[in-house]
Amino acid sequence: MKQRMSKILAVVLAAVMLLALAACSSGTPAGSGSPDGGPVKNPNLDDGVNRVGICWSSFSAEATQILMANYEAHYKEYGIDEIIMLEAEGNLERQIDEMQDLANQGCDIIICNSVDPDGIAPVVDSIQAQGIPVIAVDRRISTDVYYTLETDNVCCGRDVARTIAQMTMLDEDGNLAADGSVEVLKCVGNMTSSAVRDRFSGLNDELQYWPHLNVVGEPSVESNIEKVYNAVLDGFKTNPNIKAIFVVGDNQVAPVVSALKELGRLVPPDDPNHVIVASVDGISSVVKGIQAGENDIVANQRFDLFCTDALKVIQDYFNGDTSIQGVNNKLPTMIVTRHNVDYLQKNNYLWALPANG
Amino acid sequence: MGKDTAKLARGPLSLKKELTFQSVMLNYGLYIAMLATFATFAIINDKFLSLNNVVNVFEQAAYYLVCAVGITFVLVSGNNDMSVGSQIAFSSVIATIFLAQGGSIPLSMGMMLVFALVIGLCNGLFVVIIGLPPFIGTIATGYVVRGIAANMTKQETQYGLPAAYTQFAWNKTLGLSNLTWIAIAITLLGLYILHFTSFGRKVFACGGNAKAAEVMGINVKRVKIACYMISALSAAIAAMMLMSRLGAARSGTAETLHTECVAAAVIGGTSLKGGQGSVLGTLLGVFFIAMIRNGLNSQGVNAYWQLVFTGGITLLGAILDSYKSRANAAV
Repeated sequence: MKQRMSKILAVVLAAVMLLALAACSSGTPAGSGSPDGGPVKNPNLDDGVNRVGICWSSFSAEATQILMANYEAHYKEYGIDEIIMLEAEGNLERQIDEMQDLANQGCDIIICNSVDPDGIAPVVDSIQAQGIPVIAVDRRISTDVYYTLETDNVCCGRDVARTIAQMTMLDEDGNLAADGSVEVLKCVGNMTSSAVRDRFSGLNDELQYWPHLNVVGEPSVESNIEKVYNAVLDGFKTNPNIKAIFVVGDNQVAPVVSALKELGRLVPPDDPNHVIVASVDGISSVVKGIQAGENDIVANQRFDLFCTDALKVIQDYFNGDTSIQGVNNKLPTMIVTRHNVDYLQKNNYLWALPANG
Repeated sequence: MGKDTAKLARGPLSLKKELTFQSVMLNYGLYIAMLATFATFAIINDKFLSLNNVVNVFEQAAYYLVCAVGITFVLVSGNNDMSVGSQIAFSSVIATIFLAQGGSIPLSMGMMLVFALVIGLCNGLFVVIIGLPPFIGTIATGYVVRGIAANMTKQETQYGLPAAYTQFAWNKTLGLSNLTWIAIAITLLGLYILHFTSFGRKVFACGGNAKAAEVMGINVKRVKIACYMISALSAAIAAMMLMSRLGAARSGTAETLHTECVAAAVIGGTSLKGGQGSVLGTLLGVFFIAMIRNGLNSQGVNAYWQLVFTGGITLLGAILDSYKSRANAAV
């Protein structure tokens, strides 16, 4: 018995020591950072292949799927040899593991759309210390990264609020709407996301400059479309004169439209009973909804630039140009309404609905 | 008890079979599959078996290895613990809130261990004393504690852990991350308790044939409850590791952890019927699952296909276990 135990323990301890010794000898060489503190390629990982890792919080949104297809279709044009795409399924633990996997697979640079900006920061720091720069796309990361590319969500929230205000400025008789006469329902999304927080910050900021707008409800719907549907039904029970509804993302437009249909309020834009539905993203069904008169306003994000701009930065990095390091590039959105939707589509400004789409 | 109990204990460490093709496949089929999988990944990807990558996989699997070692005790004793993921969520949320308000780290750890003992005891009482099926009894406990955590946090991520706590997971000692060392220590401890102590032999005896064990004078109920408490303690330690790694805690964390731990144990030869299993097997199972995920990640295979692959391997493990049980019964 004792003999067997000693044997097993000896084998296990030997394995552990071997692993530890080998790990010690394979550590990142000291001084792997560049003299100016910026990232440089880790010589241990440099196998001559320009490899890029993409670690995205979730592939489920239409916008993400189109974006990933674009990365896949265009990466070679930017001098990238190989691209590895991973999805974290909205799970921070998983995303941390995947970021480490990408680093160990010899990725020279990693694009990250974080599940949680704070939670992902330590692993990003550790990866960047190995000489692998990280680019944050669409969502900020709470540490210094090589480059951040995101929508200017504060501005986007402001633009949507201003458009709602302008659309409702006049009453049915063509006079200026009285103060507090236009009721607005704001469905509050998942506030752990910096993008969502910023959108609401911009929206709330702008709303205060338009006295005719009166926010009558701010139900918390997180990212749950069932909650959105119920929030709209409940909102109309207490405030039947709601004139505009804001949801934080396009995936929440469908339940709003369904609820309006059930309430008998899904009527053409010219009808005085029409309820304005405003959102952010610009997915195809929502843009088509604007064309059909079901919903009214969408702040179209520049998912096309999320692809080409990030790839260009990576191309420059591979060519030794790191002048963009530390920049936070905030892309403006484009407001789409029934008045400009056809024009924007015809001129290919809509990422989800190309001119020939 | 000694020799008689040892006969009841039929972990792979004590299996002695004739070397026929069937017995080799039954006893080592999964290990062969494991080697074949590793070889395939290594051929496709030259970095797969690189030391950096293997060390990285150990680090990633550390917290769930700790949890799986605890679950192995419950499984070998003939029960199951569906609540480990929820226990991790609960204790990590409570401890993070406590630490964010300036609480001391040792006190928070002590608190987590005490909570774990209470939850483990509750699980044991529900399943062993009241007689609820393990599936229902432990899943209910899981719902309760996760529900409390969700209510306390309104499902928001909790931050504010001291820097020393969060840095611990990312620091290395002798080239391995601190979390890896903890996992190694817990695995060795689990190995020792389950395979080299009289308590461990009692666990095997209770899982193999509870009535016979009772006849031999073993307090079966006490042993089974103790297994639940061990599982809960290891979940609490896993929670500490996860908190340090994430720098945060949330009520929705570790939702699929139980499934992964059981899968790892089954792959490692632990029988869901009890009485068979080993901590080393669980270690191999955890490592296998983590390496598969890593290998598939390196090929950019999406998460859903990874689930299919892991599910398939677990199914193979369960089928082999079932055949093995029948073969043993025939003997």
